[in-house]
Amino acid sequence: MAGQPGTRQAGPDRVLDVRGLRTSFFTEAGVVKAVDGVDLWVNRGEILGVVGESGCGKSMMARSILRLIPPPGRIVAGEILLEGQDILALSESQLRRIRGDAVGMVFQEPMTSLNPVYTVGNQVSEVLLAHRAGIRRRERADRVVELFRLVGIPSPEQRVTNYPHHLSGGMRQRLMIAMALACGDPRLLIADEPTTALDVTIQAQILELFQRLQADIHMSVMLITHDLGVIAETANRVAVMYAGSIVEYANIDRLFENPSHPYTRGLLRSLPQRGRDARKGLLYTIPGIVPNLLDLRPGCKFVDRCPYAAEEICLGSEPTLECVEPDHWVRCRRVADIRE
Amino acid sequence: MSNPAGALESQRKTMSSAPQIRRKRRTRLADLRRMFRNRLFRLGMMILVPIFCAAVFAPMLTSYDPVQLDTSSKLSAMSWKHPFGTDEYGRDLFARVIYGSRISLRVSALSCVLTAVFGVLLGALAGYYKPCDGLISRVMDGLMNFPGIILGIMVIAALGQSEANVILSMTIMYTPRIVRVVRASVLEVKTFDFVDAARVVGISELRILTSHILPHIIAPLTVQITFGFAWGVLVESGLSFLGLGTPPPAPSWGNIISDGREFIRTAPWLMVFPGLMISAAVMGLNLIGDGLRDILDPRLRNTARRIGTALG
Repeated sequence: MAGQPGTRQAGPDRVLDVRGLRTSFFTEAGVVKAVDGVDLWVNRGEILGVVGESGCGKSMMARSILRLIPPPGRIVAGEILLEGQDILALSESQLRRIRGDAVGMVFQEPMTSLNPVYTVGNQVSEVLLAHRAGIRRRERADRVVELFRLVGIPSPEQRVTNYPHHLSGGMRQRLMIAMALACGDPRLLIADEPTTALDVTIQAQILELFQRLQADIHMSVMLITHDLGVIAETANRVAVMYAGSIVEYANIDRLFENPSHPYTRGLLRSLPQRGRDARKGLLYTIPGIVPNLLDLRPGCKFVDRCPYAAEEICLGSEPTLECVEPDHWVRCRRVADIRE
Repeated sequence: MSNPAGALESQRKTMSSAPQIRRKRRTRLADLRRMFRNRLFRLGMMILVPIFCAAVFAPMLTSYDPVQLDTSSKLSAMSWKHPFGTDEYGRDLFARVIYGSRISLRVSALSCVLTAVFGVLLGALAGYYKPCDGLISRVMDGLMNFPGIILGIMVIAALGQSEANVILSMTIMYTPRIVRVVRASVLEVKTFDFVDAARVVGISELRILTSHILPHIIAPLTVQITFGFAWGVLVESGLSFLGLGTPPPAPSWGNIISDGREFIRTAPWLMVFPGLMISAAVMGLNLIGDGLRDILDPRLRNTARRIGTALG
């Protein structure tokens, strides 16, 4: 076995290397392990898709990378290496220098992610002001227009003096991306469901923009979504998350050709398809619901919903992420039986 | 983008009309005009502006000195010579009332300014920095549980009777309310997405608080301060009535009423006119406050208008 992803040596081509990340919420009802031992990395210039259903911890994983966990949440273990530098060891001011400069983040809701009391040009230039002390006003204005052009906002000279409510959702999402790119040398863009709130044509444009930026400025993207269609179109590699852990981690082609974790298979089967089932009006669903993260029993977290579950194999301790073929890891003890 | 050329062209055309839209952006004057469309605000202003003008231009409105005694015309009733009559020392009541409005309004206004400063400072700290919240909120709750007048009596008993101490005690009384409003608004605004979005691009916490959160609390703060002003007029009168406010012989609405209460049967005007002024000022300010709330909070505005039309 080639071992777990986290135990490998960091190559020079890795922009982000997350190892054994655990983020928990210390609520009055108990400890919620929102992120429970995530290992993953993002190579330079690639798009990593992270997919999973609501509440599986993908957003919290992404926020952990920039240490944006709201209380009572806390990162309890793990390492987050950004180009070899451990983010968890940084001071607040060092961290601030990374946010918006080396790493940008785009949220799901472009409608509420911009401050309604400032013009959009102001908001983008505020980022420049925060990171490039002493930059001239004129220079800043030019850079903002240049950024607007880069993310495909038409007639940027006019748009800079608009307020957020003048712009559509798609334009605002472009603006959020412009803010993330403002400083000129973004290594990684974390996009947390960037297209969920947009309609399908705009979604395609935004995804196209990600791909263009990836190609043009060699930026890596971590694209978080619950939409396998988006992943299939855009990503180079995929991490499938379930209940706070990664259950399958593979190259995009391997994942779609040979999905090996029962959960991934369930997800793929749940996509609406033309054909026999559609005519019957049936859509496959994975039975059951996400387990309550407050009281997990030891063993595989998917066991209650898994068609392949076998008590004596799957319970007891959590399975580890095993390599089943090059560039393909699966967290399942019955993977050999499933893949046959 | 793979837009067909035609679509792109038409898009450009619609965009090029944008500068005109911008030129139409509201000016201050238009803002004011919009505010005057609100019936409550307009009525409040109609009551308050004359009172303010009277206070400012007092020396031009009357030739009498408010503290000048005139034993020849004690307790004379309303007449052309003394429109509001005179008190037991023959002082002209009209002069006393309009000079009194200077003191009453000045004291409330100054305490409002101080209240706003401390209220925003403490409220923002409590709302934004969790560790400060417990201490600040508990102290404010404690202050709020004191009946206002008792607190005022306490402060003035301890520090002595003077205008500055009246302002101080009113500030102590009203600050907790502002703190509550500011804290609640900050707590709400800090969960908005744009705060996270600002944090994620590396904006410092202090800057997030001052330039991303505080602008959003101006509306509730303005409304609360206006109500505070009205309340201040009332409390100042109350303290002066009890003999704790403005020291005589300087006139203030409260101590004029207080002086006049012995003569309620023989010279009722001594209590009626300053009383009317207090009511008018408080009502005017409250109407302005209500109007501002409707203007500044669009969610409430529509309901208010609907109620307004339903009432006729």
